[in-house]
Amino acid sequence: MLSQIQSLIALVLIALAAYGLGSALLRGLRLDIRDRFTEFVFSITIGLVLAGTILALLGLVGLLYTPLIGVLTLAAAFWTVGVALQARNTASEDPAGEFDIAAADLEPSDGSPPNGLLWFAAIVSVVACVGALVGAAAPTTAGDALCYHLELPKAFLTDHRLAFYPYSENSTFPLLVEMWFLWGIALDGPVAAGLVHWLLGVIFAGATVVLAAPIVGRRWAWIAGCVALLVPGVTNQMTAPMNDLGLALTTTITLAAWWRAVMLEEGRRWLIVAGVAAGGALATKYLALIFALAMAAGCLWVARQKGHRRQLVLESVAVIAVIAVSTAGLWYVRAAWHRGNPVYPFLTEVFVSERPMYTDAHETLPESKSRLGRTFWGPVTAAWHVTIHPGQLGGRSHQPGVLFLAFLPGLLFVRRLRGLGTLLIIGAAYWIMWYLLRQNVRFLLPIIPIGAIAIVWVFAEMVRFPAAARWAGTALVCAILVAYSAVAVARSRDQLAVATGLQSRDEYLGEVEPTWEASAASNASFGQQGHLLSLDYRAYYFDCPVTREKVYRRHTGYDLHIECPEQLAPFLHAAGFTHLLLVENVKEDGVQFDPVLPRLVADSRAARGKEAFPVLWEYTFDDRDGGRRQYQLVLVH
Amino acid sequence: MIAPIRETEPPIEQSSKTSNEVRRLVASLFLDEARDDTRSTRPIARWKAWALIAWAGVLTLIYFAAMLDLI
Repeated sequence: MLSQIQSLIALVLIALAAYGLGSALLRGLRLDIRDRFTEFVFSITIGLVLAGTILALLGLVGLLYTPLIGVLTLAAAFWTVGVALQARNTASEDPAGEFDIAAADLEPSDGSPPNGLLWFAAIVSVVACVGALVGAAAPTTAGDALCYHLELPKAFLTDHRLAFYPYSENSTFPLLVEMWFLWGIALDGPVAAGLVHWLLGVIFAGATVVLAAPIVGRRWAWIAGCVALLVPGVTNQMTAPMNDLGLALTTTITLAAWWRAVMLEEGRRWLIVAGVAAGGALATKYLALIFALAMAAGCLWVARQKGHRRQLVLESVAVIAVIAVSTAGLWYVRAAWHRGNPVYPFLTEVFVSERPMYTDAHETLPESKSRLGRTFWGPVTAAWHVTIHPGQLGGRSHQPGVLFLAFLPGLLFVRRLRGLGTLLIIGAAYWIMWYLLRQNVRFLLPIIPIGAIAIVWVFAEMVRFPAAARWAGTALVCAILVAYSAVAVARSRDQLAVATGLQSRDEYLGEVEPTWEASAASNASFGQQGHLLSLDYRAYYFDCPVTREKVYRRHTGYDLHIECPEQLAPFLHAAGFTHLLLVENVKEDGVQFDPVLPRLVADSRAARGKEAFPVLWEYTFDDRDGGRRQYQLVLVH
Repeated sequence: MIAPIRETEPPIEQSSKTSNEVRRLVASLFLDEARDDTRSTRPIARWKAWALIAWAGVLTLIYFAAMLDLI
């Protein structure tokens, strides 16, 4: 239980420090933010972007030390508390001024949502949040997290800098979210990092409220926030340290800040906030470039529709671009420095490497990432596949759910809502580019808030339906939201014991993490002193550096240089590898592993006898996908 | 007739800032704002409403059937 409390304390410290940093910037900009909720959402998001960038700069100069990060965090957190207490003591005597709902937030429709609907949405959202929190409080076993989202921060902390790992494809990605995970790992460990991503989901819902409020009114905006939070892909992402929620949060805040500057004309300083958030998005994932193009489409639309705002729109594009590039540029420069390609591994057709790949050369638009093909009507029919067959497009667990396709057609029957058209232009532009470039459902998270606002407007207009139809529609929506919430809770039921401290984390990982036993043997045998060449990409729980065999073979073609079996051990030794992690799936179900290295090792053993590649540890693991993995931890000898 | 002496109103208790803040926050969230509802709006045609509900209902059934691997 103590470890759970420690992880939560780390999360609170990170949140306080980030909020303090962000609110200091917003105070310095003297923005007119009239309610604390909006101020909180903008502050904590901007603070996270700034803090992550500071950690990256520390990494570039070799100062990523856990004690330093801890001291800075504590200082920032206590400073934040001090400032908050001081602000509270000097608050105005008339509390009404602090909580006046902005005029722009008044309901545009003819009625607010009924209190019962608000309470219902809040309750199912809280239940889903708690369910996701249980999952986040358990040690992660998500493959991508163990491959690089957590593995890279761990490696950076071990080396005390943003080192370049040539055989880690992801090490030159934009890694802002991974800096937040590094923050959590430095203060506590991987569970704190997972809790950070859970927090991003909660703030993402708040960002949806902040974006929606000036368009559909504050009370309907709360419903939109609940709808966004309850999306199955969102609650699933909240249980594992990935980076898609970080992208969705920063893009939503970018849009919300831009909206205040351009659409509501609340001051050009909002463009600075939008620029920092946009920089955060670009520093999270290359996908933000697509969202930037989608926002450009929205800007063109606004410039066309509102001629008097044309100059403001152009200014917004320029200011946001300059600040975003300044914020995120270090990641792209780093990639260009190490790989010769600022967006590696994409656009390798344009940025041709001096050292071509031996196998599986990178393609920018591989067919495997466009399961639906690319046809003229594809963007329309893709909505069906995304809803009914998300397993073909990245997995059911990352799906957007049924609400959007079910109720977006209602926009044809309801009144036009000022501002919604601009949002839909941005959403449609992003959707088309998503369809053409990368058809994976989790890449749709950035436009979930837009979809939520649109369907909430349909819900609001249902007040003009005949009573029976209104009741049927409301009941249907409530049933879907309850189902989403139930899924979020049910998904995490296996983690309840470890999340509440009734089961130890080691025992839990021994049951569910395929590489746990191998990592325990490795850590006990040679700790950080070895270098593991692994067939399994799950690397986080090993103390020593781990290189994926597939990536190493892609870059070096080492198997092509082995002319006889006796050469294998000396070759691997000269390359710096001390141990191998071999794995084979003995069943047809489940993930299969490359047979190249196991075949080379078997040939070497056949040629050299028992002394070749002795087995230090071997075991069998029954995976949830039906496979049975046989692991061997082997000495390179 | 001499009007009765109006009793003075009891002094308003000074409530804390925190409780005032909490009260206003809860009020802004959950109480309906007083508004002028005299502006009339045309109802949406019955066939449109039921077309949307039918589409949403059928799609939802297909969706859950797909998620439960029934189809």
